[in-house]
Amino acid sequence: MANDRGTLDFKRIIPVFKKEFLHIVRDARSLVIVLIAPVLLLVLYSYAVTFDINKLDFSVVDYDRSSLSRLIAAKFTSSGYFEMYKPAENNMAKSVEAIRVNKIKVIVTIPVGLEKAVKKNLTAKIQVIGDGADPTTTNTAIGYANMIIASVSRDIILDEVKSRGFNTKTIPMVETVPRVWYNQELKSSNFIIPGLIAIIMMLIAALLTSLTVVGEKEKGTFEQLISTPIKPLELMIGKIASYIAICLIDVAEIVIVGILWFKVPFQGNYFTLVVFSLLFLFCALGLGLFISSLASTQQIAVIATAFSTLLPSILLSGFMFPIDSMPWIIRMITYVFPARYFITALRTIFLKADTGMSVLWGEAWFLFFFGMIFLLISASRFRKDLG
Amino acid sequence: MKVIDVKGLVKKFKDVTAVNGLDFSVERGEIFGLIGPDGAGKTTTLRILAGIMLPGSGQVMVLDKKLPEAAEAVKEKIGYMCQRFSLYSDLTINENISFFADVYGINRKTLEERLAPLLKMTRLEPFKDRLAGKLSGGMKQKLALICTLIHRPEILFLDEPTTGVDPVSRREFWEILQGIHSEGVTIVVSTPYMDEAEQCSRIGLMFKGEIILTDTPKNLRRNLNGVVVEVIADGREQLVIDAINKSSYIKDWQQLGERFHVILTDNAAADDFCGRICNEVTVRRIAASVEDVFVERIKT
Repeated sequence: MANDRGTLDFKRIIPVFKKEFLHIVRDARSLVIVLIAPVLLLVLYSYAVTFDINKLDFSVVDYDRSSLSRLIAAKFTSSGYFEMYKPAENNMAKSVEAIRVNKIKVIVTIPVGLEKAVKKNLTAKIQVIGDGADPTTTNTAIGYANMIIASVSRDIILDEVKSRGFNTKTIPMVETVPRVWYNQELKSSNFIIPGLIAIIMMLIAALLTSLTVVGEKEKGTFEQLISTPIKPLELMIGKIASYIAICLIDVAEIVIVGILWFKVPFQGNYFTLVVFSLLFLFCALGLGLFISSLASTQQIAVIATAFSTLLPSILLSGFMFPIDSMPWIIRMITYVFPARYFITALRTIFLKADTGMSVLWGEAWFLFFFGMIFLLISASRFRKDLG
Repeated sequence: MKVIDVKGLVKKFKDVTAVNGLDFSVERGEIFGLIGPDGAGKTTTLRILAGIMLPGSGQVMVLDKKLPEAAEAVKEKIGYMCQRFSLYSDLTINENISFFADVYGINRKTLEERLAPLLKMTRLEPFKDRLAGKLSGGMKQKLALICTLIHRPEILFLDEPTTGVDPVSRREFWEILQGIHSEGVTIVVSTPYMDEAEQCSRIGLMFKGEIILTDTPKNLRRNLNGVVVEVIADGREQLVIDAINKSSYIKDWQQLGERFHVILTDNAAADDFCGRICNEVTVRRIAASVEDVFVERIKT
């Protein structure tokens, strides 16, 4: 039917918007879930998802039992990154067992003769054993271990140099002076929370709309609706608009919790945040609508939505893993998932001062583009006949 | 003037033929009743006429427009009420009506003017803020009717509007329909209840995807080939059945609880049959009902 997608009549979008809004408001239980779930999820996940390592359980097996070896062990525990797992301390067999049963991630072995070797001006070695079953943690832990041992080593060198009568102030040396911009302390919550906002909203928004079209079919209201002259596009826009209103409240809630509770600095401007939230919600709700127009039951719609939003938003959006390190074909795939653009935009808006639309117009266009595609496909998939 | 013209309409679903070669037309201002048992193809026919189902083959013209091509233009001018309650249960009467009024582009003032008499006629006025899901079956049907009438359609399609509605509400519903009809609206209504045929200006008897007869209810009854006799058995059913089985001039018969409707070939046969059993049970000649005609037709 070619002529049913002619000009849009905005007068017909308004009743759809109103009716959808009433559906949401009348369903008190769902409304509470929709309004509370984002905050709960944010609080839950932001404590769970952290790349910061502190108080990691480890053990030291000190075969040397010298003042130097005790100093090294003390440096580890006082760094704040490691915490001694007492039952395995200085017991290799128990330490090996502890790493096997996931009690500890790292064993630091100090061999006999460490102090002696150092005193003889030889290079002494300390073994650091890591648990390769958890590479992310282990990598970071080994990094910290290196840092601690390097600093001990440096002190030893300086002492030796001093004892040979040189002025330690005039030793040639190159030092890094790291300076991290936009997130000085490299607090992972500062970049995880903006990412989580995108993931949570992706799921909630897509879930909300994924039920609407197939829901009308299951309740039977579809048949009455298609007997009216309403156009599919008017219906879709009306539905998206009402859910945007609800979801904007959600975004506001979790942004406020992120800023006030998790102390994520908000450096950008609120206008850009609102523009991006609208674009992203348009895109995510469009995806839900698209799924809804394909699904034959609400159950299928929910499962399809969970699959197409949750994992891609976490794994293919740059939330956990940098997109630049992915093979090119996967990189291409990441372009399809709206969360990718929103995460980039949110991290930029939150952490970088004086960044507005000018920096993020690429992300904005992509969101708009995919949103339009989802909207148009859902409208064309919406047939105004029963076959 | 024909407002609906159907020629050779066939609609098949995977392995079932729902409608098998329909030919009929409806004149402006008629109440056209599609009458037949479940599965006769009434719903499919109405859905196709309302533009929400694609015809398989054949020609369907509604208000001089060809379906399915002009479906959206036709939808502006017709009202369709489906068999299952299809309004929003979580919206009130008022909200449902406003929604449909807005979708049809009716402004507030016109809506108020049109709604007042409709609410009065259906006596839904006191319940207008009640959720549609909390209404009784009869009230739901009346609300659905208002929603399909609010844009003043030229044709109203009603798919079994009285099925599952109590007898009092059924009668009331038909009174409302007669009121709408008197304002010049053409009504096409389907029903499995033969007694509702009398309410229609013309009826089409539907059976197994075909219209086996179209006529006014009066003509239909008059054209019954035979004479109808009603027997009140009063506990002596076996006696009546034996008498029927022994007679050669009986065209058809059916048992309706304690009563029997017997269709005989002519007056002489009726007199003979009555004479045989009138000493045992009550027998009387009655006017044929649409149901008698239907039963006779589908058996011959």
